[in-house]
This record gives sequence, structure tokens and C-alpha cells, in this order.
Amino acid sequence: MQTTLALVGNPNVGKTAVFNALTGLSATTGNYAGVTVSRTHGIVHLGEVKIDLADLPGTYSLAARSPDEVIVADVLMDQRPDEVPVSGIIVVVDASNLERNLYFLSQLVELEKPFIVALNMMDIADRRGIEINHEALSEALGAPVVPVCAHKRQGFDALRKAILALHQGDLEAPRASVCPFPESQTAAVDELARVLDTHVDKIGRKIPRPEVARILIDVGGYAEKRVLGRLGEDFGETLVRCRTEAVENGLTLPAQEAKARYNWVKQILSESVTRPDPRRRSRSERIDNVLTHKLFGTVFFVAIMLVVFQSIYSWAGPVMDLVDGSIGAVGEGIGSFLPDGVLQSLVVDGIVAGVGSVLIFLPQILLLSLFISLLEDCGYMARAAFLMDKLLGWCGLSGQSFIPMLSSFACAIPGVMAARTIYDRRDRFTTILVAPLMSCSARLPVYIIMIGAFIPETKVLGGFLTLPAVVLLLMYSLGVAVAVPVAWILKKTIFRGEKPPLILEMPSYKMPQGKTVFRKVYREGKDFVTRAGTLIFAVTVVVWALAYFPRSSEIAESFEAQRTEVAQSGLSEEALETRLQELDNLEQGEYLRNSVLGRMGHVIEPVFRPMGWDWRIATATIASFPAREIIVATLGTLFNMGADEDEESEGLVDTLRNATWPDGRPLFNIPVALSIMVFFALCAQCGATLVTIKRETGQWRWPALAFTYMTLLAYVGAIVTYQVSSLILPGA
Amino acid sequence: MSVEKVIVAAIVLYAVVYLTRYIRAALKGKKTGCGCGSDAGCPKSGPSDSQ
Repeated sequence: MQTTLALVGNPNVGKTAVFNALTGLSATTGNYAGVTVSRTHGIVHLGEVKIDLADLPGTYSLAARSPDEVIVADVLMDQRPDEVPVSGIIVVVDASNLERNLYFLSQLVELEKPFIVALNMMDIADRRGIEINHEALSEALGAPVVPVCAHKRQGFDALRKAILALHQGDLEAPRASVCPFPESQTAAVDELARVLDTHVDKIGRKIPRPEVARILIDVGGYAEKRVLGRLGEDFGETLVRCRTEAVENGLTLPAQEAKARYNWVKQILSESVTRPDPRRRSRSERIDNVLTHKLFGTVFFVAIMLVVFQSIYSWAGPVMDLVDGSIGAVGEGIGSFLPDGVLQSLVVDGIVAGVGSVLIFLPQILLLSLFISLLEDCGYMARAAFLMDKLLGWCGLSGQSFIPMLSSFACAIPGVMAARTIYDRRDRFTTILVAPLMSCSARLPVYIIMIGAFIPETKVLGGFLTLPAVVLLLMYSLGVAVAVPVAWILKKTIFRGEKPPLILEMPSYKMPQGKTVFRKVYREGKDFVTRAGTLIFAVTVVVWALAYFPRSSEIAESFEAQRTEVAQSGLSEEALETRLQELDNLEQGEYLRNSVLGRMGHVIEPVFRPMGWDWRIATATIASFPAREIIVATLGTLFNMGADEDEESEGLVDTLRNATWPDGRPLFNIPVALSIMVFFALCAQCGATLVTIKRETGQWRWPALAFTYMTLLAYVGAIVTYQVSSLILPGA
Repeated sequence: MSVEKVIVAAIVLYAVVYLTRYIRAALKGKKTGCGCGSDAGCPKSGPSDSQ
């Protein structure tokens, strides 16, 4: 029989780092709570023995309220039919914060499954002067306690031995209850269990005793709601009666439970842990005094964001030019190798110009990912969330919402998934609906190309910053600035309710781990390149085909006749070459206008004219529905196939600068560039995010709402931006 | 039909089939993009059953 072990613990105790060390996999880790929001399976190899290990989301208790906590409680109590029953538990605990960690452990003991305690973060405990006698702790708990340091991969031989012992049945399951609960509470659980046993048919399963305890204690909790949904109000009356009988000394049931558990924890710790003077403040607390200060913390936050965006702009430039040059050389090489014709156009104008236009942004994507990973891993992101809560909490979102929103700056999908940690359904749905407004890495290529082409390199703030970096920061801030009123409206209308209190754990500061940071940057780069090679490639080919066909023989004949006429006109060699080049461009433009895409584009163009866009920008925007960065590829293809490229053009930036309306006016200017950026900052052009919203909310109406309100906001925002900036910057 | 046109037709056909499958997978609610953030595997299912 296969052994399946569950890896559990409080949030941010290093469970995933332990999981990676045991399985050799590389699941995402981070120095803040809520990184793991779904279960991940891996295999632990112990010689010939293979053990299935499930990494579960972090939780403080089995009193499940949020979706990720429900997963943990159900898996541990063997209540998920899609999961193999758990044979044993590895509990990862933070050695520097044992009191809170052992509270959860006291609940796990009652599951009557053999368990191992992995005492992680021993280095931090040592630094704080906390001495732990792990042998005494092991004896008190009745289970192996193995000190480990997950990020340094220390202590894992001993942990593997303990896992093998568990697999071989050498570890005994603990006794049912270790905490000194009042007799009235135990009797009430017994009574409730008896009642529930008579309703097994209606419930569809026998409810285990730990779950019965949760039904009794957690008023309004998930366990109660699930049973009430099946048994109705009659059971509700029984439950109220049992709750009344269970309490003693005027305490509430949750308080009674907490008192009993903490008494047990205190007793265990008094036998095994020696602490230094509690008045001594840790290094993290001293740093927090500055970084979470309302004024100094905000100044530091703005400063660090400015440094990040300035660096993205200035550091990535040379590498980007190198990649751009290489892609240009590849295009030229293939162009000279293939004969003129349909295949050359597909490869050079379609694939190389399209996919290549996106790939040149890889250095910026990697840099942004590097900065986000460094800030996450050192523990600063949780402080940023704390500051944001102070600044933006008035809109009705709790501090729990800000971690998903911060995650969305890399990609909205993990951000939407991270909302699982939010207890309150209204808060969770509001967060899911506003998280895609944060500027993800897919928007970066759109910003960079528009800023690079049309925003002047003016120095600002005494020469420390450049205008492009400031505009880039403003674009990233726009999503947050719009998310606040949108969240406020949602909380005042569809999701009306009180703002829940801020519950945010501050992780200890630590030096970022090179390996963890590298993995995140690598994964981000891999995702980006994979998307360029698959989805973007496919869209580019289809866009090229729609923009290439049909090829009218009348156009070819007409331009051939004009070329013959020009050749016989007796122009100088230089003038002749210029005129022939003009004719070539005009011919390409004529083909494009008569193509399937050209005709469709002209039909929709009036809708986009108030934003200053022509049909090519409009078509590229619509084609970018699957992923935002596709617009860059589509612009690359369309403007490469049209009449706007001259021989001096180097890359898409020059091509866009040279693009014109049919009457010869420049197509792009600062107002058009700004309107495109604002549109992409606010629009919902990401099919994968919409699918994830459906998966997380269970209904299509929520992604439909997100798409509708974001598209409307983007459309109106782009029109206002174009019209206002055209008035302010006439002739820009 | 020339070899050149056959190659172009094959590439365009591949792109159309890829996009059709992508859209079908998306409509069925399957993972279609970045995001699970884990080489160890994607989550088996969302928590929609709990809402």
C-alpha cells in the first residue's frame, strides 16, 4: 500500500522549503504567509521506498474558514474522495515561535495519526537566544522532533530516517486528546457525534470526531455550514443546545478551547524551552519601527519603487539592444536565404517580426522578476502590504487582500489564487475582481515599447531619474489607483459588509536565498519564452495569414505597370531608387488594406478613433485578448507588412515612429502612446486570468463582470487620456 | 501547388489548431497560462466546491 504523508504547519514556517528539500522538486517558496494556496504532491525517495508527500497550504488551526484551510482540514481528516487517505503527518514548526505553532499541533494530535515534528528555522531561534531541548520536546509530544534548517538543507538525513520509521509502522499514533478540556465540552462533543451518526445517510459519510468538535466550537464556521446545509434547522437546534451545555465559567466555546490548548502548550514548553529576556527587541522589530512607520515607511517604499523602475529602464537597455540586433540579424539572414514570396513573408514579416518583437523584452521581465523576488524573499513584501493597508484600507479591503494584489504585479493568476487565504467571501471576491488591475509583467513590453518610442529621455529630480522611468512608475501606480475606488464600489454594492480586521503576519527579515530567487526569475523567464514560442507564435501566424490574404493580381499588375513607367521616366539613379522604394511600400500598404484583416479592421476603426488609433492598433488590441504582450507581436507583424517601414528603420520602435495615417500625418504621438498604455493598464486582455477567476469563483459571471468593467474602464480611460493629453500637448 | 505554399499552409493550419485547442481548454476551465508557479505540478482543482 502506498504511504501518503501530509506536510502541514502554520503559514510561512518553511513548509515548501522542507517539501523541496525532501522531494527534490522546486515548488514556489516566499518569505511571507500564503505562498502555498493549493496542495502539491511530490515523491520522497528513501532507497527502494517511495513516499507520496502532499504539501498543504499553511494554516493556524483546523477551524477552517477560508478555502485553503478547508482543503487542509478535509485532507487531514480523510474527507476528500479525490485524495488518498493520509497515513501520517509531518508538522513543520517555526522554532522561533513555538507557542503559536504548538497550538495547531495540539489539534493535529487529536487526529490520531502518527506524526513527525520538523523543527525549522533553528538558526533564527539560536540568534534570538531561544534554547530548545528537542529530545525533551519529543518525549513530551510522544513523537520524533527533528531540528532542520530547510534553506540550508541541514538535518534532512534525520528527518528521512524518521519518515522511514513512520512508513515501517515504528511510530505510534498519539492518544486522542492531550488538552485538558472541561468535561462538559467533551460530553457535548460525544452527544453531537451520537446525533450525527444517526444522519449518516443524509450526510453521505461518517463525520470523524475532530470534525464534530469543529462543528461544535466554530460558530458560523465551514464545518457547521456544511452539515447545516444537509440536515437543516432541526439539527441547528440540537447544535445550539450542545453549545449551551458545553461552556463553563462563562467563557465562549472558542475561548474555552484556546485556554485549554494554550495551557497544554505552556506545560510542554516549560519542560523543553528556555527563552531570553522577553523585553529584548529583535533585529526585525527594530527595522520594522522604521519600515512600517507611516511617514518614513512610505518614503522608503516610494524610493525603492523608483529605484526598481529606473533600474529596469537603464540596466536592461544594452541587453535589450543586443537581443533586438540578434533578432534583426536572424530576420535578415532568413530573408536573404529564402526567395521572395509567401514563405519569406510568413517567416520574416510574421514569425520573426512578431515573436521577435516580444522576445526582446526578456531582459526587462527578468529584471522585474529579480526585484520582486528579492523584495519577497527578504521579508519586505509583508511590510509593503502593511503600509498599503494603512494607506488604502478605507476602501473596505483588509490587509489580507494586499498579498494577492502584490503577487499580481508579477502575474494576476497566482494573485487570484492567493485570494484563497481570505476568510471572508465578500472580501475574497472583491480581491479577485480587482487583482487583475495590478500591472503584471505582460504589460511591461507594451509600456516599454511606447515609452521608448515616444517619451523623451528628460532628466528629472536633479538628474537622478529620467522621465521614462517616472512614466513607467505612474503606469504601475495607475492599477492601484483605480483598484481602490473599484473595490470601494464593489464593497458598497455587490459585496456590502464590514471591513474585516487586519490579520497580517510579519515574517523575520533574512538575506534573500540565491537559489530561491534564481528559481523564481528562471520560472518567470521560462513562462515568458514558452508563451512567445507557443501562444504568441500561433496568434502571430494567424494574424499574418489574415493580413496577407487575399493577394489581388490587379494590385500586382497595377504596381508593376507603375514600376515600368518610373523605370522609363529617365530619373537619376538615386531618385529612381527612392521612387521604387515608395512604390514597394505603397503596394504593401494596398495589399494590407485589401486583406481580410484590413477590411475587418476598417469596419471597427470608428470605435477606436476617439482614442487616436487607426485600424492596425485596434486590430492588434483585439488580437491580444489571449495575452496582453501579443499586441507587440501583432504591431510588429502589421507594421512590418505595411507601408511604414523604411530602410533606416531599426526595430519596432523606429517603425512605429515612422507610421502614418493615409494622409501622411504621423500615426503615433505622445497622446496616442499614453492612450495605448492606459488602455493596457486597465483592460482585461488575458484569457488565462479570466479562466482562473472562473475556477476560483465557480461561476462564469464573475470573469464576465471583470472583463466588462475592466474593458469599459480601459476604453473610457484611453479616450479621456488621448483627448486631454492632445489638448495639453498639441503637436506632441 | 508549390512546396513553399504547402509549408505555409501547414504552419497556418498548425497555428489555427493550436489556438482552437487553447480556446477550448480555456472554456473548459483548464489551466492555459502561467500561474500555478510550481514545477512540482499544478493544483488539482480550485476550491469552488466550498463556495
